[in-house]
Amino acid sequence: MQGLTSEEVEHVADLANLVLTEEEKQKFSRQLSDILADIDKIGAANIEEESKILIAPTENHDLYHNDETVESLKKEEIEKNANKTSGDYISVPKALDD
Amino acid sequence: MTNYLSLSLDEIHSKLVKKEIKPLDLVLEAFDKIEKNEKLNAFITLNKESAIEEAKALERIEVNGLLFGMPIAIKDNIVTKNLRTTCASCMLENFDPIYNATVVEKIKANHMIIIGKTNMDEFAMGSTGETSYFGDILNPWDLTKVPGGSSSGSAVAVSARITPFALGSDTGGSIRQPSSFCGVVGMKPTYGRVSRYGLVAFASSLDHIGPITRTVYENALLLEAISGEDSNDLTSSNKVVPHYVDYLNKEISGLKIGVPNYYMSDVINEEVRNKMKEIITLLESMGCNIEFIDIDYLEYAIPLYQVIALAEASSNLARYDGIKFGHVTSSYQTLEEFYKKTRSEGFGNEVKRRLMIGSYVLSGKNANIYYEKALKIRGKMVDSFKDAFKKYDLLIGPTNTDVAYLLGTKQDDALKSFYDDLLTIPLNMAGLPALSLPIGFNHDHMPIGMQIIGDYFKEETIYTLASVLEKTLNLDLESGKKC
Repeated sequence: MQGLTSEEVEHVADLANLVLTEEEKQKFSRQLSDILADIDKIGAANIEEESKILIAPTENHDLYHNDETVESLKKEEIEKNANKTSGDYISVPKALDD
Repeated sequence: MTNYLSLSLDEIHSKLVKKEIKPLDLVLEAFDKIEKNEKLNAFITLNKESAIEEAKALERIEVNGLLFGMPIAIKDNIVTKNLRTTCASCMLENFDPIYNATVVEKIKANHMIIIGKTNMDEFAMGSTGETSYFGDILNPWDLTKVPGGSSSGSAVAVSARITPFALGSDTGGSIRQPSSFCGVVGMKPTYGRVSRYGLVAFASSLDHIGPITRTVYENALLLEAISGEDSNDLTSSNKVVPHYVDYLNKEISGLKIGVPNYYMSDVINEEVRNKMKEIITLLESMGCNIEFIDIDYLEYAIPLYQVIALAEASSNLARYDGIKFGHVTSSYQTLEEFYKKTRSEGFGNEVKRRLMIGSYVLSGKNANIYYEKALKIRGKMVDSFKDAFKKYDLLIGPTNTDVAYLLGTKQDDALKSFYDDLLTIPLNMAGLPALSLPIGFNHDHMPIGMQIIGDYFKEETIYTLASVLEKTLNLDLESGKKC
């Protein structure tokens, strides 16, 4: 794989919800290209289309339990690590435009 | 300064039972040793006040088990209520957990005393101990060398005899690799043996918690203490937890052991390979039947990890958005800018690189080209391991391709840090248990580690072989003696 262009690095950063400086873009361009070249071995692997996928190495089985009321975390505890709170709520930046 | 923490577990325990020492003596010694070894940078947060309080409270209770009163260090990605948990990241620099991980509840129930939270690679991403926001961690065998990672501080604390016990986590080799570099015993148990509840998620299908200890005996005791089903982790197993110490130092004659050819290739350092060959000869002389075998798809281990681990990480770490907890940017115009700046300021370079790759392999058609295909290869690799365990009791090979190397060697090489985990990643993919055992030293007196791999939920067979080898080799593994 060829080195990623600055625009491609920007796109990948955008997917990860990151913003990069010009210097970072240059550095990551080479590093991401190296990793993606490695990952291409997966794309090139010769494996039957109908092979089973394995998401986690665990023998999943159905688990049932009765609905029970249990003690839950207190509001004050949940809010403890939030940057900004207002009364019983966690304050967030405005999500909708005017 | 006292040196009780270099005594054997049975000796310490006996002194506690006879009331020759108190848990407080052990706790104070641990903090003295942390101070004396400050340059190792093994800890991020100390639990001094609470540890002393807990130790004093234990004076009023009868000593009721081998782990009673023992100091333990906890990797800083395992949450501890009211004790800062940072994942060695600026993102969680001030994070104060509101509950204990299940393993923490279990060690408290055994009356162990948490000394502090250990330094690590940021969000467990790295294999050198150099990606921490809180600075590099040093190898106690040679302060110019890396300790391995990501459970760097946990391995260092045990190696320097600061605490006899530590907990680490292992997503691609993060317990076994630093254990091998620091000359300690590290176990990644079967996936589901130990609850992951309260382990800050990196790659959920590959993450494991496990014990790092001075000896196999201590490892077996701690694994038993932290294992078991947990309603808070539905991937935890309801299989009965064996009394692992019953399986130590048993007969190994007749054990059928496979050595995957992949684990003895030219990529492995010659001294490491030669040490492994010595062990194979030794085991044969003790009656083990050893054969070299092929496990299919092992050559895909690194790209599989790059796809699966990083895809899962990009999803798991999407939660760090500055809203409910974590770092928050101070200047922004829009919500999108708020998220992006918060994350870009909060994460270090290694984490950013991995999140970008993870997002890329999950985006659009890449999800089929890379992610889905990787899951198929993972399935094939696991089938190949299952076939091997129809014939063999254990598999063995080196833990790492080499011994610990100089600090700074791999910092700017995005690929090399993955290649450190060449021999450990396959067992995370398969969820099989694997232990790293010190088997000797190289010409520079740096520890060499061997990996003993068992079938699913057969940790006891691993401990049998490890304990016999440990006893036969009888190595002096107290790193402080060399410093």
